[in-house]
Amino acid sequence: MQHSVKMAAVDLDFYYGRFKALESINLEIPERRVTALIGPSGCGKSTFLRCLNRMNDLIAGTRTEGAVLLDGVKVNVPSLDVVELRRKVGMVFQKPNPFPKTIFENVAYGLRVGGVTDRNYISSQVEKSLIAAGLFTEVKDRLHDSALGLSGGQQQRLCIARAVALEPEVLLMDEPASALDPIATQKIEELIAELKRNYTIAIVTHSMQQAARVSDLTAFFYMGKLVEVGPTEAIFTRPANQQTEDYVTGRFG
Amino acid sequence: MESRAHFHAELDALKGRVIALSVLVETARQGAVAAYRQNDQTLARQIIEGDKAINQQACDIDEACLKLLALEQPVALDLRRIVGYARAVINLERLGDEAVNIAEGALVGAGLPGDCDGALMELSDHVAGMLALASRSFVEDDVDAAMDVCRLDERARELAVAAMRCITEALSRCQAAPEDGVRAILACRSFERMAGHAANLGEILVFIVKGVILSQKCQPR
Repeated sequence: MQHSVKMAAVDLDFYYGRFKALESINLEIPERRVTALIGPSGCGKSTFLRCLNRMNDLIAGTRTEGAVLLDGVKVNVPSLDVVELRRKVGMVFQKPNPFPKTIFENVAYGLRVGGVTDRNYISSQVEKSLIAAGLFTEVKDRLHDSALGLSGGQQQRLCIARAVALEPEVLLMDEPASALDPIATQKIEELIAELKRNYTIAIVTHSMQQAARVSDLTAFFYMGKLVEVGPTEAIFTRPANQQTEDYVTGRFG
Repeated sequence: MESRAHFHAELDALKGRVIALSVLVETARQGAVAAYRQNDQTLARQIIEGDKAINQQACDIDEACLKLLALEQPVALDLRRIVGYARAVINLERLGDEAVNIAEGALVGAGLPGDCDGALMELSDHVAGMLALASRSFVEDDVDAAMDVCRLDERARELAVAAMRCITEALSRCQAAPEDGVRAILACRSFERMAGHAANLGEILVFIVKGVILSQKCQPR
């Protein structure tokens, strides 16, 4: 089954000041598939992820060359509304970062900031998002309790619900389970499998096994370059590139 | 990611055990052929008895493969190596069984009918060459040697057909006792199966090193 390209990098270079952190990246992220970005620390995978919704713009002295495309439209241009881009391309971070508010308000926050005032719509959207994040049954009786009282795994799924509430088209996940225990990790991985029915997902992970379990495509980055991208099954059974082979088998990195 | 030096040392050790098993199997094959040719019943019994050690080692290696799969969750070359070694020991264990079959022929007084000695020994020598090449391919991760083993299987079939034709013709001309003819045909079949297992070993080595699964006639599937 062919999946159309949702996002793409075309000859993408990225600089932190004078340091070139990404070099000539060409990568297509297919729609409603999970693309895993792997590679040793400092290889540029998280930098690349943050290029997709221009989170790097928040860091002074950074710049991009080449193009990042969303549905074929270049998004790394000054005239583009970054807030709107980030609504379409949501993000979940390594450490769960719920706001010091109620569970309900955490999920409703983005909607309210976006100017939504219809209380019924907000309520239904919060419930829908919590269901999508696999959290609703666990919190439905305490929606107005503080989100800070949830476990780490629940907090991370709340953050996913918060991202999903804005109905993004793409979800970026930067090591979303690295701070979680195995059971909570398993729930996040199951959730990713569910979410890809409706969302395009790009995930950075340091866990080879996690990349193998959750992704359809795997891209291996090394020293700012994209070394190899292909179906996850091929990357983990017979990678074409020796560097990929050496990395996934733990011979370096 | 963290270095997996300990795991890779275990993989190297696993390879060493597979090669050691192949040496045991080769010793059994040589002994079985010698027992058959020389009607040496003592040697034949040793080969049959020695198969227990081959079976035990095959089981041990199989368990070691299972353990590494479960605990180390290998990928790519490491995964192919473990899966490949698990498949290889099945073939090595069966090679040992064929050596036993030949030795059992010697035990019941196998003789070579008519003038088929040359045909059967040509087949035996060809199989010996295939197994030596297969072992070398495993020791050196040599894909070219492995492909050669795979290709030599066709010649083994031709030699087996020629040897069997010689035996059946000798039987039809009443130049051989029926018991000897049947035993010789069974030995022929054992050599042919040995060639098949050697070819499998070649295919497995190609899978390990290249990740390519070969089908019939040594072509990528």
